[in-house]
Amino acid sequence: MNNDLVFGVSDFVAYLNQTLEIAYPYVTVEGELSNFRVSKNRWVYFDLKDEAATVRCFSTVYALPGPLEDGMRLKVSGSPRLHPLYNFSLNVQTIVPVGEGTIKKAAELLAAKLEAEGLFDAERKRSLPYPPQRVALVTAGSSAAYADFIKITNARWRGMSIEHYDVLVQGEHAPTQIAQAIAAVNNLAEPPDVLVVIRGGGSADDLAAFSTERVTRAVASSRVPTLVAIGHEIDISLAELAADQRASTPSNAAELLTPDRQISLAAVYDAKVLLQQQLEQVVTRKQVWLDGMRTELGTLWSRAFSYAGHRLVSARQLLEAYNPQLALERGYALVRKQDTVVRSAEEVITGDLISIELAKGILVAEVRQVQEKGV
Amino acid sequence: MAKDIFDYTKKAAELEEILTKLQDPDIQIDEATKLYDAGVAIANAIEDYLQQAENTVHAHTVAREP
Repeated sequence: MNNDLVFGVSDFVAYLNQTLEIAYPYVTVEGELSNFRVSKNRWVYFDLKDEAATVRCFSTVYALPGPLEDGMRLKVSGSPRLHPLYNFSLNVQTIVPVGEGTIKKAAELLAAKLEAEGLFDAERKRSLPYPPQRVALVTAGSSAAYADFIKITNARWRGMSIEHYDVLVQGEHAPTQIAQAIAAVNNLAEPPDVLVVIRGGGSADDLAAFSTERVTRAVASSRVPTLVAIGHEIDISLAELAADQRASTPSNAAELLTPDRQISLAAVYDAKVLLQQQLEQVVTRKQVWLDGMRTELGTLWSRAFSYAGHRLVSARQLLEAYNPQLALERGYALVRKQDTVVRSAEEVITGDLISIELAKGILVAEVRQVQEKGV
Repeated sequence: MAKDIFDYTKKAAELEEILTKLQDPDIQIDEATKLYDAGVAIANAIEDYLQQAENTVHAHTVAREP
């Protein structure tokens, strides 16, 4: 007994922690959540239990996948430690709800919380540029979702620059990677036109990363407009609710994002025909206008010519009316005394010689008598 | 990323604007001819782009936390 190793308490705790670090540096434990509580909005304490045992756990709010309730089934990962004062606990770094019931319940709690904050409000939704020139794509590079998206995008549209961020789309590290990729896209000096987050179909467990608070908040706070398609049409993740636009599948995301190139080409051909037609219409309009002007000029000219003709006739008639020869023809005579026209009997006296111009010939006469008119 | 990337949306809007201007009943023939030439040039550029441009993919990896 004297050879037995005797530790001081602090030494024993340190020795045990050293042993734990070597033997179990990082463990994952699955069990039912109980005694869940959050202290000072930062520290999280809970127990993980099954029918026979309970493990005390310690974590921070940053590791929470969303709101949790006692009774939920969780898979937690972290490092076991013996605290000098508070005994044994698991220092938890990741918490993942497991089992359809728990995932659904966790998603419902988180959805209610985020909805109350307005993350899913319709007025927050922005329209996506159509078509975009630069696309950031967040998904697993080896996935069918990635292959489908690239294939359909290439078939539909050209000239896009796609920045692909290769991330895990399931498992405990998926939320962190997806959120980091979204942050990286938003921190680019020249952000892309749209951020696309996609994942193919899977079980509720497989899709759980896209209903975590971290990923949902990352999508909601993205300054780059977002398009999210997770799973099949019937699967609706919280990230999709927070996105500016949701697509039912990754293939549908590619279709929503891009126009059909063939339809756009047909529209360009139509535009060229329309350009030709419109130019011809302009020329035709001008020809019609010119013809009208020509006709109008002709009419005006005719009218002016006719008017001038009438004026000429009138002038001629007027001139003729004043022609003394015509008066002489009608029997009148023009009397002159020494080349001055005599208009009054008072202008002559008896004995004056006067000339009398008739229509034909001139008479020279002597005034024999001067009388007043009417006498 | 390339800064001189063809801006389809901008070019399509320019073409639409030219088609609208050509509908002006008071437009003069010389102006209409200039617009027609510009419109055909844009339409040809869009056509070339839609037939010849390719999509490009650049891969980025995200550091995996332990």
